[in-house]
Amino acid sequence: MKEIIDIDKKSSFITFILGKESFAVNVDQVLEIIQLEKLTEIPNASEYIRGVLNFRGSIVPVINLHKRFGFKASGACNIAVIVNLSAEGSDRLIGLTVEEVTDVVQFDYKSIRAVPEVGINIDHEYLEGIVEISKEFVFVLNMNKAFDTSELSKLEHPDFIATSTKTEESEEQPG
Amino acid sequence: MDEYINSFIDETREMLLALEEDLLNLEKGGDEDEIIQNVFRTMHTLKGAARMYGFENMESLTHEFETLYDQIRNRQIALSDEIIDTTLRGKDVLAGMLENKESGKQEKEIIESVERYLTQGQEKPVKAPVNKDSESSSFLILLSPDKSVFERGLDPNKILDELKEMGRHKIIIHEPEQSWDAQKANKICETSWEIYLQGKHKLEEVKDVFLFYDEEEYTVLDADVPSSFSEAFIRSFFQKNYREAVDIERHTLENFRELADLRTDDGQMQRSTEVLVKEENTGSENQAAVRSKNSSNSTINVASKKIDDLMNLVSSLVSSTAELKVLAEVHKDYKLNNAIENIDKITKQFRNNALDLRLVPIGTLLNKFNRHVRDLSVELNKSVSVIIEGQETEIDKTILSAIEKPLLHIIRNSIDHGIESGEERIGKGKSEQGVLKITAFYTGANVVIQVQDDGRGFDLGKIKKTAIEKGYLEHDQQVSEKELLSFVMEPGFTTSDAISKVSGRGFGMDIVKKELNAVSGSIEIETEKDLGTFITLKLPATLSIIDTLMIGVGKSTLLLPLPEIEYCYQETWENIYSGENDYLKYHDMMLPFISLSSKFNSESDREKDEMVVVINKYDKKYGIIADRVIGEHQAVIKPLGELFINQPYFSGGSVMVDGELALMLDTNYLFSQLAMN
Repeated sequence: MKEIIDIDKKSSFITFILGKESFAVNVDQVLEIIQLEKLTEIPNASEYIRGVLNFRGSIVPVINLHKRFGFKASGACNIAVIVNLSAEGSDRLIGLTVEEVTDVVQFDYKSIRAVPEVGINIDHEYLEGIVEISKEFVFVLNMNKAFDTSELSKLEHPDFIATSTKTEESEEQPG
Repeated sequence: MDEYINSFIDETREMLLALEEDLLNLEKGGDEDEIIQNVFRTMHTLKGAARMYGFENMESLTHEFETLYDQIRNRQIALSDEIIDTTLRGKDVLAGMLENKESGKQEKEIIESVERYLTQGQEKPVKAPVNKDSESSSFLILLSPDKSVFERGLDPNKILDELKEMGRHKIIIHEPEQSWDAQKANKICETSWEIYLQGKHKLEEVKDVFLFYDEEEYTVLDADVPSSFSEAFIRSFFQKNYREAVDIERHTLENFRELADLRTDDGQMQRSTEVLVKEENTGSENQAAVRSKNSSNSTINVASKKIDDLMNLVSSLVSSTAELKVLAEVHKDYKLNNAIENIDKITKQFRNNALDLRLVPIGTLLNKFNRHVRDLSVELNKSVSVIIEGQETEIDKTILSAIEKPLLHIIRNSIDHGIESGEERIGKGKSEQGVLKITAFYTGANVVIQVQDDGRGFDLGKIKKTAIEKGYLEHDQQVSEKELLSFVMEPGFTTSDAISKVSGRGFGMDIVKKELNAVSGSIEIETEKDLGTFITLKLPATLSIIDTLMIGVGKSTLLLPLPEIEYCYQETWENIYSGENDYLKYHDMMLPFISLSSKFNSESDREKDEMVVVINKYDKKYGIIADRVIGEHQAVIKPLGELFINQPYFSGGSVMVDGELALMLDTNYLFSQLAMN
């Protein structure tokens, strides 16, 4: 965060839908909401990564949020929220695919409550907490935990380097 | 302040390089008087600068040399090869001091040698001093520093102190209402000076005192050439520097007269005169406007990060413009298209200009080699002359630093193994002195550097013998000269019987090749027995833009560096995949291959032919199997980012004309995969 958060001051959040749940991201971190048209897949990348896209001349990775939170994919998620994870001036951009961007809401950090111990399947580390907005529960994301580089940079097939081309090809050979 | 220290370091480094060149010329028998004068002046200037920036050890060392060369130029001490050698070593120590290197021992040795020369010289003066400079000369110096002079870490008073040491003088201080101390406290300098100086120094020496001042801030006029300065000139100088209140008319004539007195009447004039003129400060409003008019066309140092950022922006602009162009074509609007055409043109120019910023003349590196050649030829007792051509050829700074070591190695090899000893050369009917020629020039988007010697050439027979011993070749195998020479660049391949001190430094031709490949460069060797060796380095002029070939695999568009591609051809699915081994028949060889579609788990259509791209890297050939070849693409390669640090296949990505991304394949990694199998 750029400055120490004043927990009494209201901040704006963008809410979006994923599966049947609602999530919120601080508007300060959001750069743009775009339609996913041109996405370049990276072979053998982590299953959480859908690919990369060209955003204002930079290469930005796009994270599959359904996979990340263990949700079942429901149709095409062609909306991406581009967020900047970096606290200081530098850019660390990622895109998050969501089903629908719903609203911009305001609440203060004080009103964020702890996530219930049981009943929530998302890794608690990824969440800042829960907030109630118009009788609906909204998960507030802890961006830095949810999109930790070391975990996301793992390859889909960590053993693929060791697999020899020979065996891969023999499977494809006409039998 | 740091910034000024850095610029001091940069400037000093340049001066040291010039000094080195002077000394080498001196050894070669250049114009002795002039060069000695130069060396003296450089030492003197360095001393002043070192003092100003608190490099104390540097100050004391330059002081020693200054004294030594002062006596040499006065012919109290004879210049010897030993002295030049000591000075060269002294230059190295000085350069080390700039980087805070510990060199206490060497420094002491040098100072001791210099002091030895000095005492020897006193005992036995060489010739009666023929002092050509004994005639004194007079100067009018105008100094009007920029307001920000204190912020640059400079104190004009230091200049005055130095000038005072140079001879008899009269100083007129034009001080505004604010006192000097107040100006110093506020860090705003508004004082100007007129200095009349009489001494035995030359115009250049006086000018050297002002090393760290802009040309607009001072003027040194030779009073012996009265026509060179007039009242109008003096007034305009101060006016230009916004000190309009300077009351010149009142003083100038009077000072002219005094100056003349200084020259003729030696005994009676005071040694030092200072006049303080209080002024009213007016006319400071137009400063900024006038200042910008006076901007000089000198060079500036820019952090490379800033240029990288600019390059990124420019390449975004290039791809956005291309996108715009595609969109506009749909609309078929004549006016819109025209406007976009214009933007496109400007963008391209902009890109070229931005690329230009990274380029530096190759001479900055090549001239350094003069010294190495000299040291080496002394060490090996061979006489070698160096010819350098094409210093002005420009190349990306990153590439220039990357090729320094490889180039140095090539030069070492040439002198150590190529060029023969004096007797051997005479025996062969060659001139005793060997010639090493380094030439740089452009070919298309590439820069070529050629290193040529007239030595004995590579011993092909010996190479063949070693190649057979090492198992690269069969006994009766026929090989071309080119293939034989390529073995020289294999790791651990050496034909020399004993490892010499010069070339046996663990940096072989294989590393030369690797380092060149790292910057997309290539190397070629041609050799002729007893006539010499010709080594050609081909380098891209810039790393920012790479020529690539676009290929398609499944849904992905991938890029391969064009210079590494030898050939592309179609091959049937059966021919590729139905064999037992991963080899293809290509010309007369077995070509190992990597199939990208199986590597990336994408389906490949059995009915359709596949494309084979033959890569020729490190003189090893292998095939890459792709679904299709799309065409050429001039790529600005960008990093994929930290989420992909574990991804070995791709070295970056590039935005294509349609705004989509293509991934750059890492041919080094693909090659290593092949080697593993």
